[in-house]
Amino acid sequence: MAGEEPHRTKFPISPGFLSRSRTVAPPNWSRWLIPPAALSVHLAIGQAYAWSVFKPPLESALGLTGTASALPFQLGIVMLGLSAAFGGTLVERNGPRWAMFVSMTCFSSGFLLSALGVATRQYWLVVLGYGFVGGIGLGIGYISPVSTLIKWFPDRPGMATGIAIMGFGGGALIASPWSTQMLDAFGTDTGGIATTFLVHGVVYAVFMSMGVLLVRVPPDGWRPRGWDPSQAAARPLVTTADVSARNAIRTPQFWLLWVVLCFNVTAGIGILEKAAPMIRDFFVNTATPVAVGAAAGFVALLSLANMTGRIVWSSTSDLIGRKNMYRVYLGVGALFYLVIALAGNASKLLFIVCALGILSFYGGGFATVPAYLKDLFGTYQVGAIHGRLLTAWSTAGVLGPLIINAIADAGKAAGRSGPTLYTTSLYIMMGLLVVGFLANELIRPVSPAYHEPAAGEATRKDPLVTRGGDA
Amino acid sequence: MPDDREPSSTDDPTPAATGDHVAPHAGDDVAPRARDDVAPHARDGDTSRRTPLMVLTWAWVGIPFAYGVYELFQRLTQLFGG
Repeated sequence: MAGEEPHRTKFPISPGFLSRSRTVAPPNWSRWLIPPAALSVHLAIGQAYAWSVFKPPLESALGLTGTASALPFQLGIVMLGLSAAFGGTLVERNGPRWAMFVSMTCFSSGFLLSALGVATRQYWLVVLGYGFVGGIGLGIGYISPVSTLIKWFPDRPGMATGIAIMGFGGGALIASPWSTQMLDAFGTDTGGIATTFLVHGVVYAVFMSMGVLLVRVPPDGWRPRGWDPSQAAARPLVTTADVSARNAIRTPQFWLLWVVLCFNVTAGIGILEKAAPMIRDFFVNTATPVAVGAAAGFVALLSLANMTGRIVWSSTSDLIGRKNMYRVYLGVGALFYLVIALAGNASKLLFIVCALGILSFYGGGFATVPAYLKDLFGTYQVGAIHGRLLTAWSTAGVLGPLIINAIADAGKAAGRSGPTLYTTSLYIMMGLLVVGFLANELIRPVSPAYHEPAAGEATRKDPLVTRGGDA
Repeated sequence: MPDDREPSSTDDPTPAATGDHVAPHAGDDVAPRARDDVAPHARDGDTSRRTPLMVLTWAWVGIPFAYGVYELFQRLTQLFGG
């Protein structure tokens, strides 16, 4: 096609087996083979949240401080945001198999480099390997199946992306006990940690390769049996038009959704970051104080709520609509924070139920956002737009802990104790959720000025040639 | 899980109509894309041959996930029950 030749000179197109055209599904392909392909990537890269398992052994084996041992994880999360934001267009162009292959290569290579770094006592190699190289694998892997899942499940996009993004939460559940058992088996000296990293790199490469081999994109014009796009488009905010990633970031809808995601994540991290000390501080002066072990159990329960919320709430959004779902996340979430602030240490059960609700909304917010983007901007470059939106996650990752730690530290310095240590933080989180709620209320359908030209118009030949002047 | 794909004879197969704008290049080994020329009985037969693949792939991700959930509940039981 003559119109596509310029792409080859402007952007790298993946060759052969990895190319997008080689992943077009044959006529007998089932779309239910796509979620396991996506899960094989997300369950692997979700290991990032279990990095804390490696911190104590690394600190004792290499003589590191707690801050230094956190560096690979922190750089990994930064690289996740950056590679998702800047690599999204490449992922859209080259297709999911290429993206999953890049993710697999980077994530596994990160572990192998880390193994070399620990074996040779060169900690910078661990930071470079796990943080920089592995972090690219996290970002590309996170967005790799999103667009494909939405195209296979246009009737249930929330459920489809919810399954994959639940996998990211579930990855830590698998990695945490598995890595601990491996360290127990190989030892926690440099040799043992290096061997553990080596095994992780190899096993994750094998595990993720299933996704690389299995993933397929639907043929052009494919749609699920009995599904009528015009019925779906009749719902508020759902468009059948397409908006490019370049144009999407020029729309107020993108930035309103950015605020929604950022503040919803900030509110969740506010609890997650300090969950164990928070529940102990809350009930320290009561008849039933919380022991260290029970506090760890509380953190495990929060992880479960986070993971379950991703699939349950995201699937619910297919029924009640994305805007209504975020009204629940932000509105009911704010009420939960209010209840915690007002009830104080009056009821442990009430505290736990509200915290679980907040964390389930935190997970749900992550999982529902790709479908919200699809509703607003169409399927054309939804993966790339999602990648750009994940900068809200990076921002929230700094904002949430900063707020709650600073206020708790200041409270302790002022001699406060119990629930009063956190009262200000709780009201701030509630305020952020209210701002997010208002931002969600302001979201309207995207102006047709940002839509890609309809079929038959000459400029449609090159998908990346957008009508920048329209913006 | 059912294979609920359906070839649609009313679909506009042009990339612009579907949102999938990356068309195969000449020389690429493209998988068969025709939808209207696939007989339903042939599709059903092919789909049944996919069942072992379906079981294998879901087990591939399901077993590690079940292990993670099991370990989580073990921890919860130890902490709150034991």
